[in-house]
Amino acid sequence: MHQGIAFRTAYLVAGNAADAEEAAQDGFVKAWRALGRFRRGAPFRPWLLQIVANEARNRRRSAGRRAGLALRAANDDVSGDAAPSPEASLLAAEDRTRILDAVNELPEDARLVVSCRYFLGLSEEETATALGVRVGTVKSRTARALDRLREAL
Amino acid sequence: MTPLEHALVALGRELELPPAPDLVPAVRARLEPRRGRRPLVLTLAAAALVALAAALAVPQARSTVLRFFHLGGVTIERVDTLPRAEERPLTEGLGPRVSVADAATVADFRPLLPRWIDHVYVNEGAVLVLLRAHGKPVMLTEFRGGIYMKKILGGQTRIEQVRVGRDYGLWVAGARHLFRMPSKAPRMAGNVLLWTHGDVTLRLEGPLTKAEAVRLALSIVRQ
Repeated sequence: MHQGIAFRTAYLVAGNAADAEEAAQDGFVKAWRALGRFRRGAPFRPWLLQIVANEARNRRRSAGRRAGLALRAANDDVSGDAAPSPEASLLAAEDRTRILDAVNELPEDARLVVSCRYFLGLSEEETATALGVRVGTVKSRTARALDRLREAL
Repeated sequence: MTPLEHALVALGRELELPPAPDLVPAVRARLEPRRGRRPLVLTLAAAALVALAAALAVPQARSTVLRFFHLGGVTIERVDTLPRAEERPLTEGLGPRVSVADAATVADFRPLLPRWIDHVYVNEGAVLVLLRAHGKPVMLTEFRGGIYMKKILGGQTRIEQVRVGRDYGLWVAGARHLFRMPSKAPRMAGNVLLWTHGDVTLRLEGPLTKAEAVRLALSIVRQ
Protein backbone atom coordinates (compact mmCIF):
# COMPACT_ATOMS: atom_id res chain seq x y z
CA MET A 1 0.00 0.00 0.00
CA HIS A 2 2.76 2.47 0.94
CA GLN A 3 5.65 0.61 -0.62
CA GLY A 4 6.14 2.91 -3.60
CA ILE A 5 6.25 6.19 -1.70
CA ALA A 6 8.33 4.63 1.09
CA PHE A 7 10.92 3.36 -1.38
CA ARG A 8 11.06 6.65 -3.32
CA THR A 9 11.45 8.63 -0.10
CA ALA A 10 14.26 6.33 0.99
CA TYR A 11 15.90 6.61 -2.42
CA LEU A 12 15.85 10.41 -2.40
CA VAL A 13 17.38 10.45 1.07
CA ALA A 14 19.87 7.58 0.75
CA GLY A 15 20.85 8.18 -2.86
CA ASN A 16 21.02 4.61 -4.09
CA ALA A 17 18.56 1.78 -4.68
CA ALA A 18 20.18 -0.89 -2.51
CA ASP A 19 20.27 1.33 0.60
CA ALA A 20 16.76 2.56 -0.20
CA GLU A 21 15.39 -0.98 -0.35
CA GLU A 22 17.06 -1.85 2.94
CA ALA A 23 15.85 1.35 4.55
CA ALA A 24 12.29 0.79 3.36
CA GLN A 25 12.37 -2.81 4.60
CA ASP A 26 13.73 -1.78 7.97
CA GLY A 27 11.23 1.06 8.12
CA PHE A 28 8.26 -1.26 7.60
CA VAL A 29 9.57 -3.72 10.16
CA LYS A 30 10.20 -0.99 12.75
CA ALA A 31 6.81 0.58 12.03
CA TRP A 32 5.15 -2.75 12.61
CA ARG A 33 6.97 -3.25 15.89
CA ALA A 34 6.22 0.30 16.98
CA LEU A 35 2.51 0.18 16.18
CA GLY A 36 1.76 0.33 19.88
CA ARG A 37 3.17 3.87 19.91
CA PHE A 38 1.23 4.96 16.84
CA ARG A 39 -1.33 7.62 17.75
CA ARG A 40 -4.77 6.31 16.85
CA GLY A 41 -6.47 8.55 14.30
CA ALA A 42 -3.22 10.20 13.15
CA PRO A 43 -2.29 9.90 9.46
CA PHE A 44 -0.30 6.73 8.97
CA ARG A 45 1.70 7.59 5.86
CA PRO A 46 3.83 10.44 7.27
CA TRP A 47 4.54 8.41 10.39
CA LEU A 48 5.78 5.52 8.27
CA LEU A 49 7.78 7.85 6.03
CA GLN A 50 9.47 9.38 9.06
CA ILE A 51 10.71 5.96 10.13
CA VAL A 52 11.82 5.09 6.60
CA ALA A 53 13.54 8.46 6.13
CA ASN A 54 15.43 7.98 9.40
CA GLU A 55 16.65 4.59 8.25
CA ALA A 56 17.71 6.05 4.93
CA ARG A 57 19.53 8.95 6.62
CA ASN A 58 21.49 6.54 8.80
CA ARG A 59 22.63 4.64 5.73
CA ARG A 60 23.55 7.78 3.84
CA ARG A 61 25.67 9.02 6.77
CA SER A 62 27.62 5.79 6.85
CA ALA A 63 28.00 5.69 3.06
CA GLY A 64 29.38 9.23 2.70
CA ARG A 65 28.33 11.66 0.01
CA ARG A 66 25.37 10.62 -2.07
CA ALA A 67 25.22 10.69 -5.84
CA GLY A 68 23.16 13.47 -7.40
CA LEU A 69 19.73 12.84 -8.84
CA ALA A 70 19.65 12.18 -12.55
CA LEU A 71 17.15 12.62 -15.33
CA ARG A 72 15.61 9.72 -17.10
CA ALA A 73 16.98 9.26 -20.61
CA ALA A 74 15.07 11.34 -23.14
CA ASN A 75 13.54 8.43 -25.00
CA ASP A 76 12.30 6.61 -21.91
CA ASP A 77 8.61 6.58 -21.11
CA VAL A 78 7.61 8.99 -18.39
CA SER A 79 5.77 7.08 -15.66
CA GLY A 80 3.85 5.15 -18.27
CA ASP A 81 2.00 8.28 -19.42
CA ALA A 82 1.05 8.31 -23.05
CA ALA A 83 1.58 12.06 -23.29
CA PRO A 84 3.77 14.41 -21.32
CA SER A 85 2.11 16.47 -18.61
CA PRO A 86 1.42 20.16 -19.29
CA GLU A 87 4.24 21.06 -16.92
CA ALA A 88 6.65 18.63 -18.55
CA SER A 89 5.91 19.93 -22.01
CA LEU A 90 6.81 23.43 -20.81
CA LEU A 91 10.21 22.32 -19.64
CA ALA A 92 12.88 22.19 -22.28
CA ALA A 93 15.59 19.59 -21.85
CA GLU A 94 18.15 22.31 -21.16
CA ASP A 95 15.96 23.81 -18.43
CA ARG A 96 15.49 20.42 -16.81
CA THR A 97 19.20 19.84 -16.62
CA ARG A 98 19.90 23.33 -15.25
CA ILE A 99 17.22 23.04 -12.57
CA LEU A 100 18.32 19.57 -11.55
CA ASP A 101 21.94 20.67 -11.31
CA ALA A 102 20.83 23.54 -9.10
CA VAL A 103 18.77 21.18 -6.89
CA ASN A 104 21.73 18.82 -6.56
CA GLU A 105 23.87 21.75 -5.41
CA LEU A 106 21.46 22.71 -2.62
CA PRO A 107 22.44 21.99 0.98
CA GLU A 108 21.16 18.62 2.10
CA ASP A 109 18.29 19.99 4.24
CA ALA A 110 17.03 22.18 1.43
CA ARG A 111 17.37 19.44 -1.17
CA LEU A 112 15.36 17.03 0.96
CA VAL A 113 12.56 19.52 1.50
CA VAL A 114 12.40 20.27 -2.23
CA SER A 115 12.47 16.54 -3.03
CA CYS A 116 9.65 15.73 -0.62
CA ARG A 117 7.46 18.68 -1.58
CA TYR A 118 7.85 18.76 -5.35
CA PHE A 119 9.31 15.41 -6.46
CA LEU A 120 7.29 13.18 -4.13
CA GLY A 121 4.27 15.46 -3.89
CA LEU A 122 4.11 15.34 -0.08
CA SER A 123 2.18 18.05 1.75
CA GLU A 124 3.96 20.43 4.11
CA GLU A 125 2.63 18.45 7.06
CA GLU A 126 3.74 15.11 5.58
CA THR A 127 7.15 16.55 4.73
CA ALA A 128 7.53 17.86 8.27
CA THR A 129 6.70 14.50 9.81
CA ALA A 130 8.84 12.55 7.36
CA LEU A 131 11.87 14.77 7.96
CA GLY A 132 11.25 15.08 11.68
CA VAL A 133 10.94 18.89 11.69
CA ARG A 134 8.15 21.39 12.30
CA VAL A 135 5.82 22.58 9.57
CA GLY A 136 7.22 26.07 10.03
CA THR A 137 10.70 24.71 9.36
CA VAL A 138 9.48 23.09 6.18
CA LYS A 139 7.97 26.40 5.07
CA SER A 140 11.11 28.39 5.79
CA ARG A 141 13.45 25.79 4.27
CA THR A 142 11.27 25.62 1.18
CA ALA A 143 11.26 29.40 0.79
CA ARG A 144 15.03 29.57 1.21
CA ALA A 145 15.56 26.70 -1.20
CA LEU A 146 13.40 28.34 -3.84
CA ASP A 147 15.30 31.62 -3.37
CA ARG A 148 18.60 29.79 -3.84
CA LEU A 149 17.29 28.05 -6.94
CA ARG A 150 16.09 31.35 -8.43
CA GLU A 151 19.52 32.85 -7.79
CA ALA A 152 21.25 29.86 -9.34
CA LEU A 153 19.03 29.89 -12.40
CA MET B 1 2.37 27.74 -7.39
CA THR B 2 5.07 29.87 -8.95
CA PRO B 3 6.57 28.95 -12.35
CA LEU B 4 9.64 27.58 -10.57
CA GLU B 5 7.49 25.32 -8.41
CA HIS B 6 5.62 24.08 -11.50
CA ALA B 7 8.98 23.39 -13.11
CA LEU B 8 10.11 21.39 -10.06
CA VAL B 9 6.93 19.29 -10.14
CA ALA B 10 7.52 18.63 -13.85
CA LEU B 11 11.14 17.79 -13.14
CA GLY B 12 10.06 15.26 -10.50
CA ARG B 13 8.19 13.32 -13.19
CA GLU B 14 11.34 12.97 -15.22
CA LEU B 15 13.79 11.90 -12.56
CA GLU B 16 15.45 8.57 -12.96
CA LEU B 17 14.12 6.70 -9.94
CA PRO B 18 14.54 2.93 -9.80
CA PRO B 19 11.29 0.95 -9.71
CA ALA B 20 10.03 0.19 -6.22
CA PRO B 21 10.71 -3.43 -5.27
CA ASP B 22 8.09 -5.66 -3.70
CA LEU B 23 8.95 -5.32 -0.01
CA VAL B 24 6.21 -7.56 1.34
CA PRO B 25 8.05 -10.94 1.18
CA ALA B 26 11.13 -9.57 2.94
CA VAL B 27 9.16 -7.75 5.61
CA ARG B 28 6.95 -10.78 6.11
CA ALA B 29 9.98 -13.04 6.56
CA ARG B 30 11.51 -10.74 9.14
CA LEU B 31 8.30 -10.37 11.10
CA GLU B 32 7.30 -13.99 10.96
CA PRO B 33 8.95 -15.11 14.23
CA ARG B 34 7.04 -12.41 16.11
CA ARG B 35 3.67 -13.46 14.79
CA GLY B 36 1.17 -13.99 17.53
CA ARG B 37 3.00 -11.87 20.08
CA ARG B 38 1.09 -8.70 19.39
CA PRO B 39 -2.47 -9.54 18.42
CA LEU B 40 -3.70 -6.32 20.02
CA VAL B 41 -1.65 -3.92 17.95
CA LEU B 42 -2.65 -5.77 14.82
CA THR B 43 -6.05 -4.18 15.13
CA LEU B 44 -4.66 -0.66 15.55
CA ALA B 45 -3.56 -0.06 12.00
CA ALA B 46 -5.07 -2.95 10.16
CA ALA B 47 -6.26 -0.78 7.31
CA ALA B 48 -2.92 0.92 6.82
CA LEU B 49 -0.92 -2.28 6.99
CA VAL B 50 -3.30 -4.51 5.13
CA ALA B 51 -0.61 -5.85 2.85
CA LEU B 52 1.62 -6.81 5.74
CA ALA B 53 -1.22 -8.30 7.67
CA ALA B 54 -2.20 -10.46 4.72
CA ALA B 55 1.36 -11.51 4.25
CA LEU B 56 1.69 -12.51 7.88
CA ALA B 57 -1.16 -14.92 7.49
CA VAL B 58 0.99 -17.09 5.25
CA PRO B 59 2.81 -19.65 7.37
CA GLN B 60 6.52 -19.58 6.69
CA ALA B 61 9.41 -20.07 9.05
CA ARG B 62 12.51 -18.14 8.04
CA SER B 63 13.93 -16.96 11.27
CA THR B 64 17.47 -16.88 9.93
CA VAL B 65 16.76 -14.49 7.06
CA LEU B 66 18.25 -11.06 7.78
CA ARG B 67 17.56 -9.26 4.49
CA PHE B 68 15.77 -9.81 1.21
CA PHE B 69 16.64 -8.23 -2.10
CA HIS B 70 14.93 -8.71 -5.41
CA LEU B 71 16.38 -8.04 -8.80
CA GLY B 72 14.35 -9.13 -11.79
CA GLY B 73 13.61 -12.80 -11.30
CA VAL B 74 16.20 -13.34 -8.57
CA THR B 75 15.64 -13.34 -4.84
CA ILE B 76 18.71 -12.70 -2.73
CA GLU B 77 18.61 -13.53 0.93
CA ARG B 78 21.16 -12.48 3.51
CA VAL B 79 21.23 -15.07 6.29
CA ASP B 80 23.13 -15.43 9.52
CA THR B 81 24.16 -19.02 8.81
CA LEU B 82 24.76 -20.18 5.27
CA PRO B 83 23.12 -23.57 4.56
CA ARG B 84 25.37 -26.33 3.29
CA ALA B 85 25.55 -27.00 -0.43
CA GLU B 86 27.83 -28.95 -2.72
CA GLU B 87 30.65 -27.51 -4.78
CA ARG B 88 29.79 -28.54 -8.33
CA PRO B 89 31.23 -27.42 -11.65
CA LEU B 90 29.48 -24.62 -13.53
CA THR B 91 29.18 -26.86 -16.54
CA GLU B 92 27.16 -29.57 -14.81
CA GLY B 93 23.56 -30.16 -15.89
CA LEU B 94 23.41 -27.52 -18.57
CA GLY B 95 20.53 -29.11 -20.45
CA PRO B 96 20.17 -29.76 -24.17
CA ARG B 97 22.37 -27.78 -26.60
CA VAL B 98 20.27 -26.08 -29.26
CA SER B 99 20.51 -23.34 -31.87
CA VAL B 100 19.83 -19.76 -30.78
CA ALA B 101 16.64 -19.73 -32.82
CA ASP B 102 15.39 -22.91 -31.14
CA ALA B 103 16.32 -21.54 -27.74
CA ALA B 104 14.27 -18.40 -28.41
CA THR B 105 11.29 -20.58 -29.27
CA VAL B 106 11.64 -22.83 -26.25
CA ALA B 107 12.34 -20.05 -23.75
CA ASP B 108 9.81 -17.69 -25.37
CA PHE B 109 12.16 -14.71 -25.56
CA ARG B 110 15.08 -13.63 -27.69
CA PRO B 111 18.21 -13.97 -25.57
CA LEU B 112 20.91 -11.30 -25.61
CA LEU B 113 24.09 -13.00 -26.73
CA PRO B 114 27.63 -12.26 -27.81
CA ARG B 115 27.71 -12.09 -31.59
CA TRP B 116 29.81 -15.21 -32.10
CA ILE B 117 27.47 -17.51 -30.18
CA ASP B 118 25.39 -19.81 -32.37
CA HIS B 119 24.43 -22.56 -29.93
CA VAL B 120 23.21 -22.32 -26.35
CA TYR B 121 21.74 -24.55 -23.69
CA VAL B 122 18.16 -24.40 -22.49
CA ASN B 123 17.15 -25.49 -19.05
CA GLU B 124 13.80 -24.96 -17.32
CA GLY B 125 12.92 -21.91 -19.40
CA ALA B 126 16.36 -20.32 -19.01
CA VAL B 127 18.96 -19.89 -21.73
CA LEU B 128 22.50 -20.74 -20.68
CA VAL B 129 25.68 -19.84 -22.52
CA LEU B 130 29.13 -21.11 -21.72
CA LEU B 131 31.84 -18.46 -22.20
CA ARG B 132 35.47 -18.47 -21.11
CA ALA B 133 37.65 -16.01 -19.23
CA HIS B 134 41.17 -16.54 -17.93
CA GLY B 135 40.92 -20.10 -19.31
CA LYS B 136 37.99 -20.91 -17.05
CA PRO B 137 34.26 -21.20 -17.75
CA VAL B 138 31.93 -18.25 -17.32
CA MET B 139 28.24 -18.96 -17.31
CA LEU B 140 25.73 -16.53 -18.75
CA THR B 141 22.15 -17.33 -17.74
CA GLU B 142 19.12 -15.45 -19.03
CA PHE B 143 15.45 -15.85 -18.30
CA ARG B 144 12.30 -13.82 -18.50
CA GLY B 145 9.48 -13.39 -16.02
CA GLY B 146 9.01 -13.55 -12.25
CA ILE B 147 11.02 -15.01 -9.42
CA TYR B 148 13.02 -17.89 -10.78
CA MET B 149 16.24 -18.35 -8.89
CA LYS B 150 17.49 -17.71 -5.40
CA LYS B 151 20.85 -16.72 -3.96
CA ILE B 152 21.61 -17.08 -0.29
CA LEU B 153 24.48 -15.05 1.12
CA GLY B 154 26.36 -15.34 4.37
CA GLY B 155 28.00 -12.44 6.12
CA GLN B 156 31.27 -12.65 4.17
CA THR B 157 29.72 -12.18 0.74
CA ARG B 158 29.58 -8.59 -0.47
CA ILE B 159 26.74 -7.16 -2.51
CA GLU B 160 26.78 -3.80 -4.22
CA GLN B 161 24.74 -1.94 -6.76
CA VAL B 162 26.19 -1.51 -10.26
CA ARG B 163 25.08 -0.02 -13.56
CA VAL B 164 25.31 -1.91 -16.81
CA GLY B 165 24.82 0.95 -19.22
CA ARG B 166 21.32 2.15 -18.42
CA ASP B 167 20.38 -1.05 -16.61
CA TYR B 168 20.59 -1.65 -12.88
CA GLY B 169 22.44 -4.60 -11.46
CA LEU B 170 24.02 -6.14 -8.41
CA TRP B 171 27.56 -7.40 -7.99
CA VAL B 172 27.84 -10.32 -5.58
CA ALA B 173 31.42 -11.16 -4.62
CA GLY B 174 33.69 -12.25 -1.82
CA ALA B 175 32.93 -15.49 0.00
CA ARG B 176 31.10 -18.11 -2.04
CA HIS B 177 27.34 -18.12 -1.72
CA LEU B 178 24.57 -20.60 -2.27
CA PHE B 179 22.76 -20.62 -5.60
CA ARG B 180 19.55 -22.42 -6.36
CA MET B 181 17.45 -22.91 -9.48
CA PRO B 182 14.06 -24.64 -9.47
CA SER B 183 14.15 -28.44 -9.27
CA LYS B 184 17.93 -28.48 -8.91
CA ALA B 185 19.99 -29.13 -5.84
CA PRO B 186 21.66 -25.96 -4.57
CA ARG B 187 25.34 -25.44 -5.25
CA MET B 188 27.96 -22.97 -4.16
CA ALA B 189 28.67 -20.07 -6.51
CA GLY B 190 31.44 -17.49 -6.87
CA ASN B 191 31.42 -13.91 -8.14
CA VAL B 192 28.19 -13.08 -9.92
CA LEU B 193 26.87 -10.07 -11.79
CA LEU B 194 23.08 -9.86 -11.92
CA TRP B 195 21.24 -7.31 -13.95
CA THR B 196 17.96 -6.78 -15.75
CA HIS B 197 17.41 -5.62 -19.28
CA GLY B 198 13.75 -5.00 -19.98
CA ASP B 199 11.90 -8.00 -18.62
CA VAL B 200 14.92 -10.29 -18.98
CA THR B 201 17.12 -11.10 -15.99
CA LEU B 202 20.74 -11.88 -16.80
CA ARG B 203 23.38 -13.52 -14.64
CA LEU B 204 27.12 -13.86 -15.23
CA GLU B 205 29.07 -16.21 -13.01
CA GLY B 206 32.76 -16.92 -13.23
CA PRO B 207 36.28 -15.85 -12.27
CA LEU B 208 35.75 -12.21 -13.21
CA THR B 209 36.44 -8.94 -11.46
CA LYS B 210 33.58 -6.47 -11.22
CA ALA B 211 35.04 -4.35 -14.02
CA GLU B 212 35.48 -7.38 -16.27
CA ALA B 213 31.95 -8.60 -15.57
CA VAL B 214 30.40 -5.20 -16.30
CA ARG B 215 32.46 -4.85 -19.48
CA LEU B 216 31.32 -8.29 -20.65
CA ALA B 217 27.72 -7.49 -19.73
CA LEU B 218 27.86 -4.26 -21.71
CA SER B 219 29.21 -6.12 -24.74
CA ILE B 220 26.26 -8.51 -24.46
CA VAL B 221 23.45 -5.97 -24.14
CA ARG B 222 24.94 -3.70 -26.85
CA GLN B 223 25.02 -6.40 -29.54
